[in-house]
Amino acid sequence: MDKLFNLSNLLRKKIIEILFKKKTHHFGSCLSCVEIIVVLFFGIMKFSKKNARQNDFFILSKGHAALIYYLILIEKKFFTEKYLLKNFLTNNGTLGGHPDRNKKLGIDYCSGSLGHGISVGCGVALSHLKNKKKNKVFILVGDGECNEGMVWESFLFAGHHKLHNLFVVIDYNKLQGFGSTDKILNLSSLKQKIKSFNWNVYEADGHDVKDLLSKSQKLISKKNKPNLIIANTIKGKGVSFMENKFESHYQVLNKKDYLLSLNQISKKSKK
Amino acid sequence: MRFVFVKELIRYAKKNKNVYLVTSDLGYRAFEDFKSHFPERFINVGVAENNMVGIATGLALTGKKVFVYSILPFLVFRSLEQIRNNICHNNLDVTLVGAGGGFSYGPQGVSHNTSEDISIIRSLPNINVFNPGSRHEINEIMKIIFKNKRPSFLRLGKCPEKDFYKKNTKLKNGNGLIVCKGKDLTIYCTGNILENVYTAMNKVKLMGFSINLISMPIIKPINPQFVKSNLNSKKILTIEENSIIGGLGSIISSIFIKSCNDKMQFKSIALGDLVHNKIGDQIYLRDINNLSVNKIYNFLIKYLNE
Repeated sequence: MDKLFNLSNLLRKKIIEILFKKKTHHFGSCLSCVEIIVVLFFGIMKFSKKNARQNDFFILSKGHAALIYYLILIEKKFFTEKYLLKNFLTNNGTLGGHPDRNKKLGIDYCSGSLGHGISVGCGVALSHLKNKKKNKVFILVGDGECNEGMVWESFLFAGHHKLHNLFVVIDYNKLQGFGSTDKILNLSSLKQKIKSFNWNVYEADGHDVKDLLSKSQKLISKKNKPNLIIANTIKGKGVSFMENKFESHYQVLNKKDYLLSLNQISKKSKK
Repeated sequence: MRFVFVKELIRYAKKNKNVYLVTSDLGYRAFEDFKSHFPERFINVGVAENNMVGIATGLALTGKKVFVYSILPFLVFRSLEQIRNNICHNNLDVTLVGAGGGFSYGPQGVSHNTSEDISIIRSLPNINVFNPGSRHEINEIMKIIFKNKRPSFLRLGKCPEKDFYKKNTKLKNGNGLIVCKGKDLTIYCTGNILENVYTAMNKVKLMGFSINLISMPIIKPINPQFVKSNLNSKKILTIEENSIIGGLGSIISSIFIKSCNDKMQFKSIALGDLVHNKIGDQIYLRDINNLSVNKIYNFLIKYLNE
């Protein structure tokens, strides 16, 4: 458990460092799903470079959080931090602001346009079931993208076909493009909504690795319906002036804010 | 043509266990046979075209050979982004089968008829675009699709009674098929409008003209060498039941523009850049868009006498 906690803090720091270096944005979106990604890749999924053919399938449906995905792939030894710095958002680089499919780099699917992830995941999950293959499909979805009709088409499909090898986590930070999800397009009673589509649904504290891990394990053991965790998270988690601010989606850090952010994160990681 | 398609698909699916047919609740009275042969490989996703293409993507990413079916405009226009980002960008083995095309759905209206599909789809990377005009053409195209492991688009209108070729005429990917040879005018046409072109041409031939007719059931890829080497006349004409923007006329003219001279003449019959919302059956709609036998005939006579 400590390992997951420490890794989350390390990655949070790296997000700040790299986005500052690259003078780019999407801080908030990355910071809200750090623990989710860490728990999935280091606590739940079968995912390694060595036995890549045996890997579970992962889709980052909220493709704008690409950096945290790249960072976890570094931890999984698919490439190095040096490679990331050389290739992330650079001319003739391989790592864009939204991930592109690249089996060598461990990226199963390209994303960037919201709403596709669960649907494609349903196809992979269905294929695995038909082939009697035991691998699972994991999809990280943003709450804003749950506005998309395609997301609900795939909720219907997965529930109808009882795709029990499908595992979705919604990063429910309650903020999207112009402000709060409540005010833009209310998702309220999200849990009941998705449950009524014939899914197993749990809520979890999306920044508590212990809670995320235990709920995920419980869900995975059920094997009767598709599974979903609504992870309650905070956009910009870990940096006081970004927390719960939708502006953290777009903000590019200046030097002063950068140093302040790093300071806050290292203090928290010592607690 | 969809019956020819399904028959071939069943034959192939018996040999290849990776073949899947995915539909958005369409294909009633066409897919029952496939469903009874391969219930595990027939997936009806319900009325949800975006999800249908997403599901097809997931199946193809795990090694399946997927055929996706809907009424053409619902598939192409509603799911264009899914086709672009998922199927074409990842170069997946998915064939998009669109029923209808042009004025196939006649009086059902503008939601069901299409004039823009070929132009839009052919601009996507990696995809092969097929627009068969006869039973033989679709059979030959199915052979190419079964061999290929890449995205394809197949426009399936009504199948003409007549076929235009000898049984063993082969179609090579990128080429067209020569229907008849002549010297006064070379016609390149695509799709099942071939039937009207063929009839009009025979009437013109009775008046002593010699016509070179080439059917182009493959819109992409197109082998420019094939197109150039089969030009036997100074006059060129393209005919298609698709928009004047970006279809066969655009393709053929861009091939000849590099080698054109003062003596060459080029004309196109295609659908105008407008909303095609007039009500009527396919025969009527073709007529008011200059694609009936009579209108094509009149056009040919005028062009040949210029």
